[in-house]
Amino acid sequence: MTFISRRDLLMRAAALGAAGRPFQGRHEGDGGDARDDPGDPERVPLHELHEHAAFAREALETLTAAEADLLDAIVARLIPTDANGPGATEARAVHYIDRALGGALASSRAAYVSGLAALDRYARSSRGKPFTELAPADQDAVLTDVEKGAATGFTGSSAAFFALVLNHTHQGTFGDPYYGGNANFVGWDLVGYPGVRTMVTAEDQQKLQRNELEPNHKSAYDYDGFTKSRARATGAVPWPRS
Amino acid sequence: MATKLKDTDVVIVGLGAAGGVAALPLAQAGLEVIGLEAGTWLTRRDFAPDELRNNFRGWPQGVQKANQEIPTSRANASSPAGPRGTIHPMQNAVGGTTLHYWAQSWRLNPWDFRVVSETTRRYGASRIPKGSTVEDWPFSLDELEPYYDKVEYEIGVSGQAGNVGGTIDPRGNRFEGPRRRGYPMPPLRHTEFLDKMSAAARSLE
Repeated sequence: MTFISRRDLLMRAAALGAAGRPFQGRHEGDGGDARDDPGDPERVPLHELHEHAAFAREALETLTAAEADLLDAIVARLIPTDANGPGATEARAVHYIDRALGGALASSRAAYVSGLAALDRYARSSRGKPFTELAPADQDAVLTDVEKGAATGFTGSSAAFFALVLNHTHQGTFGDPYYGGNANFVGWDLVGYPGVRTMVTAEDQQKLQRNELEPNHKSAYDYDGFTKSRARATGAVPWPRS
Repeated sequence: MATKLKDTDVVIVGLGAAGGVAALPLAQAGLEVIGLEAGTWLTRRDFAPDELRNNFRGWPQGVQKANQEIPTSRANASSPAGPRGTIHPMQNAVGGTTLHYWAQSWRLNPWDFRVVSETTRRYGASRIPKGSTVEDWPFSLDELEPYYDKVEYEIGVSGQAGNVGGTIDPRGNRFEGPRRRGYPMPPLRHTEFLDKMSAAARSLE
């Protein structure tokens, strides 16, 4: 382990924030992923990658660090970073879920506490390791059991927990970035959604149909007209009563 | 203690599609009108195209009254009560659900006024379930048409007419009842999706 490799790792984490580049570099086209090649002097062991991922993560508001580690590993398999581009990891789906569990999704908090614990116990009992330390193929096998309701040790069916996490992962990957997910619009880029627009010209529409419309990378709340604070500041009645 | 307010000519309870539309002609007729609405005032700024808020979280700003009235729901008497469904297409506000009507408002079709007689004619009387309370309307679309026309021009409805005074226009819905004139606002530009749907529907003719 050299200083350069750590710096490179932090730069990758920074690049993730700036441009949504794939953190694990599986398709970066810059010489491949260092951790895949044991002979590479700058190779970063997987557990170090996790440590640094935790370092680069946003402040947690609801989940514990261990829960967030586990959830990050889960969402990375649900919408993986692959040849299609960045996935739930880069979209920061876990950041979305963490924030939402303290607010709009608070009623799901208990389900996450028990579900995440049960999933990790199941990974250990069925595959012999904590979920985060399993190879991706084994992680997928665990998740498939959870999805089918075949994983034991859950309160109720494991399938319900899987559906919950998948739904929230979709929200955190493809929802408006205002809520802390879909970072750098990677989710919308992934599905070809060109961003929130208040007007679409005929020319825009034709370009969209040809997949040539440039994404504008705008959230609904990048438009002044939809800023919630401004709406509140003007008071409840939109025009004076006579 | 109850407060006795000054007398008024008309009190409209609920300012949605029905009550809200009634307010204008009543006021124009010189009557003093008071409207009561349990919802709030919403403005354009409340209509952000935000799928998470509007579609997954039930647009809490838009359905404040319903949120209080339906705190929980359950599928049947033996299932546990859970949070109410978050998809809630109505709005509690001055204007009601017409606030997001997208310049769309559909008239009933001629058939809708004669559900019993038309069903019987086409499929036989046995197709009306026993004990059903369904009835033909006591009047036809023709009688309502002038009012549809008035409201469409007052609130602004967009579309392509399919039957103006009995003349069929294949660009519109050829099955609609005759209307005295076209819509006050032109139809929206087609999308690729709409083109496909139109072609599929026409192929059924």
